[in-house]
Amino acid sequence: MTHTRGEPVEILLAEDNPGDAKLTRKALKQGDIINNLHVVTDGVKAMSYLNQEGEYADRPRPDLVLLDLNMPRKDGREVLKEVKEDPDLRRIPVVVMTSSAAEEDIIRSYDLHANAYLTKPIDFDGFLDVVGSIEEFWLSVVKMPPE
Amino acid sequence: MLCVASDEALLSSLVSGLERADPDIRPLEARTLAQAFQVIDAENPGCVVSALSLADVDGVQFLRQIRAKYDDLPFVLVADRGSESVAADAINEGVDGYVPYEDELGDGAFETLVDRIETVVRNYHSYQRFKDATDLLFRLTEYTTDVLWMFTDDWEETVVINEAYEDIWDRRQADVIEDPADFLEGVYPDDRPGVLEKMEVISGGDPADLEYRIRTGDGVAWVSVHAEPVLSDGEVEYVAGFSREITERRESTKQLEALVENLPVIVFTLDADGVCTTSAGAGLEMLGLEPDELEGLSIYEAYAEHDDLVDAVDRALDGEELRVTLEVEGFVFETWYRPVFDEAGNVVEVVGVSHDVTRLKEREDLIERVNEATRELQNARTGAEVGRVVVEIIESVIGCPVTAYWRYDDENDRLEPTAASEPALDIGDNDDVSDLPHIEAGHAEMEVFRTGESRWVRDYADLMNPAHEAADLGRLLLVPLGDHGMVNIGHAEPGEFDDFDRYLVEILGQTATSALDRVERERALESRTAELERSNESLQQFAYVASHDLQEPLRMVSSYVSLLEAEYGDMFDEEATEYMHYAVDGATRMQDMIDALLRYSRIRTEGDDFVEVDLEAVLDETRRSLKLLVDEGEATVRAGDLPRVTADRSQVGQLLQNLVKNAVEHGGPEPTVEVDAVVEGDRVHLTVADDGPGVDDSQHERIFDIFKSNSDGTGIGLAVCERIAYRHDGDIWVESDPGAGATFHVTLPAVDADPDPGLDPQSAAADGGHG
Repeated sequence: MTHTRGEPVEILLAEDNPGDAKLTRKALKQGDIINNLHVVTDGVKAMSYLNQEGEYADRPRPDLVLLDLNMPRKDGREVLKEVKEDPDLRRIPVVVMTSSAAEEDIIRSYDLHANAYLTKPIDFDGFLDVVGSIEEFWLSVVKMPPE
Repeated sequence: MLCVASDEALLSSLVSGLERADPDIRPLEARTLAQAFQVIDAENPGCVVSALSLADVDGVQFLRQIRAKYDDLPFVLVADRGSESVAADAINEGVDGYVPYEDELGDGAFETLVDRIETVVRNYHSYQRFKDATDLLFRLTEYTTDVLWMFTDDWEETVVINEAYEDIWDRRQADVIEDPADFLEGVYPDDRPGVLEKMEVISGGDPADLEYRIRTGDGVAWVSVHAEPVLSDGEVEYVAGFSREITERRESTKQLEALVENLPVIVFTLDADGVCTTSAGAGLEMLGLEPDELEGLSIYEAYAEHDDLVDAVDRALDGEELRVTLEVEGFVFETWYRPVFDEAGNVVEVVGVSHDVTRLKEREDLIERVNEATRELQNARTGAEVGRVVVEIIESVIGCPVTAYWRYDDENDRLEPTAASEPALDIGDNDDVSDLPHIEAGHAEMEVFRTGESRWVRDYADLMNPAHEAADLGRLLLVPLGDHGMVNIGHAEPGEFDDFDRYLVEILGQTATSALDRVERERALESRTAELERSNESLQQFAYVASHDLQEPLRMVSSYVSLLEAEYGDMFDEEATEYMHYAVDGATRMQDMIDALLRYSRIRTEGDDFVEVDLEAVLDETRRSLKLLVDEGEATVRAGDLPRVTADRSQVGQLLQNLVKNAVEHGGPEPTVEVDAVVEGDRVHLTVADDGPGVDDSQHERIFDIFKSNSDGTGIGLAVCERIAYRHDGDIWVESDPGAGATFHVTLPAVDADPDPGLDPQSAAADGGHG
């Protein structure tokens, strides 16, 4: 996976709560990194998107996945597990968005190897901070030597 | 003193002369023999002084007549010189004194006479005393119950034998006086040779002791004889001794012998070389030995192959008194060896008693085997398993083949067959234990079960309304196991199954009852535990779901209010802005509470392992994390020497932090907080004291309720502390005097004095990183 600065970053947000999705989108817009945000509202759709199946056949493979844990049909844990077990998908960085630090502890305990964990903030300023963290994380990923 | 003379002059001279010579003498007078007899009979004089010739008889004849009538009365003859021949006759006749005189009785003659009379009288008196003593002695022999006897050395003549002979021998004394052989006639014929042999020994000059039987009118008596030769000039002159009746003693000895001979014991003595000198007892027969077969045999040779026996005899001969149990010829004997010492302390003999403890040993072994087997009951997890083990033990160990266990089914009030031996199933041609009949209310067996006491049934057919109506079960033992069930043991013939077996079964029954009680308790505990686990799990699930699901709408509220403020804030007036702050603040606090609730719910399930924790280090961390709070409140946190505890390090950190924080927040102005901890047995007693207004009595319990305290801003701090203390099997409480501050007490496990070497140092180190 290569990426050069200037090209928009393809981000897949798997989030069933439109309020959260909107806040994330808003915060990303205010950030420094040019991005294309794609939103899916459940785990099944997320997997179809990642595998470029059905309606998502011509969508670009995302550079980064922002994954909510609690989603209908297939929750974030299952999505994370499938991604990390799929040799084609495992290199895509996944940032798990949790509702609380306690929830983060729980998902960590499953040992599913998310690349980062972020706790969803409770106000918009917090969202801006979170987006800042995502950008920081992203930059650290692209600085890594191409494999 | 009687003076006798026919010559008047001589008589008066005698009388006056004697009176003159000794004033103590009172002379009596007699002139004739007849007169002399009269005076002797009337006056009983101590001595007779007589002239040689009297009117009717001469002196010698007079003496003869006196001797015939009074044979020991002293008699002194006074005669003039020239009658020496008469004097010689008188001496031959036994005169006690003879005093000659010249023509007339002069004074010199009287002195001689008095002197002579005194000697005679003195001799007479000592003879009288001797005679009296001899009489007494002889009378005494008549009183003794022993036969005292003396025969000539050839046993031909009897010298003396007392009347006791008649009592013991049951023969006439006169006959044995007549002929000593009479006593031999009385001796029991079988014992006669032994008696004759001893008689020769005594005649040969040696003493002898002998016990033999004599025939008496009403049977046989035993006598014990001690006899000695009586020597004269080195030659045996007489044989003498005494014979005592010892029938009673012999009888009791005989009874004792009979007792020993019939008891199942072996009584023996061994000499200093380990050779058997006596042996008796019915125990010998068990070993196939005749009563005296062992005698003369060395134990070392006879029992050479029995190392333990040889060892015991060795030790006894070395002076040790000991009791050993060992097996000989298939029997188990317990033997008591007791050494007998001489005055120098050397073992001269060992006496011993062995008794057969084979049966006892078998029973001991059986008890041991039953004990061993009942251990399996401890592992039984179900009542049916207990039943199976009990049936198995009774069948294979105690040896009663027909055995089955019925479990009490309290819902249906009946006993249902749960376990049975093969022979028990065979009785009614049953394939499976469930084919056996149930014991219902009203059945005889049920009545026994209800009493809770084991019971013998002599014949099953005699029972009123038995459960197996058609079965011929014969003798039956029913043993209820508490209220759990009942064991039935059937077909035991009398003798096959004794009281001891019953006793064993009852003991087994008690053990089985305990096992069934335990199984019941465990089942109840297991089900309660499982229930608790389920409820705990759902609580976890609930807490997680609730916190997550609550947070999402909450975040919507707060996020969008803040977004509203960010994007449209310039359109709001000051008051509207303030409202929005309240909304955000409320949402924030609610989120904290939800987080706290989630953490609280996870203390029990998500904790770390217990390790050794240094409270001093934990307190240092607490000081660091509360530095801001402490500094701002100008508080002082003081601590004594704190011991180590065994705990979840992270949770102890949280506990201490919550308590210190609570104390700072509730202390007085510029609060002082005192932290201390002491080891009390296997617990560490931790205290955190503040100097605030204290806690009202009514609040002592409530402050530990969730959301009731306010130590961490969410009202959950003390509730968390309580849950942590409980997880550590400890306790927490508050003591407070209003106005004098509050002291929180917590007990935690102390560090084991002897730390478990299995404690994983890795986990301790890894945990150290948590705080």
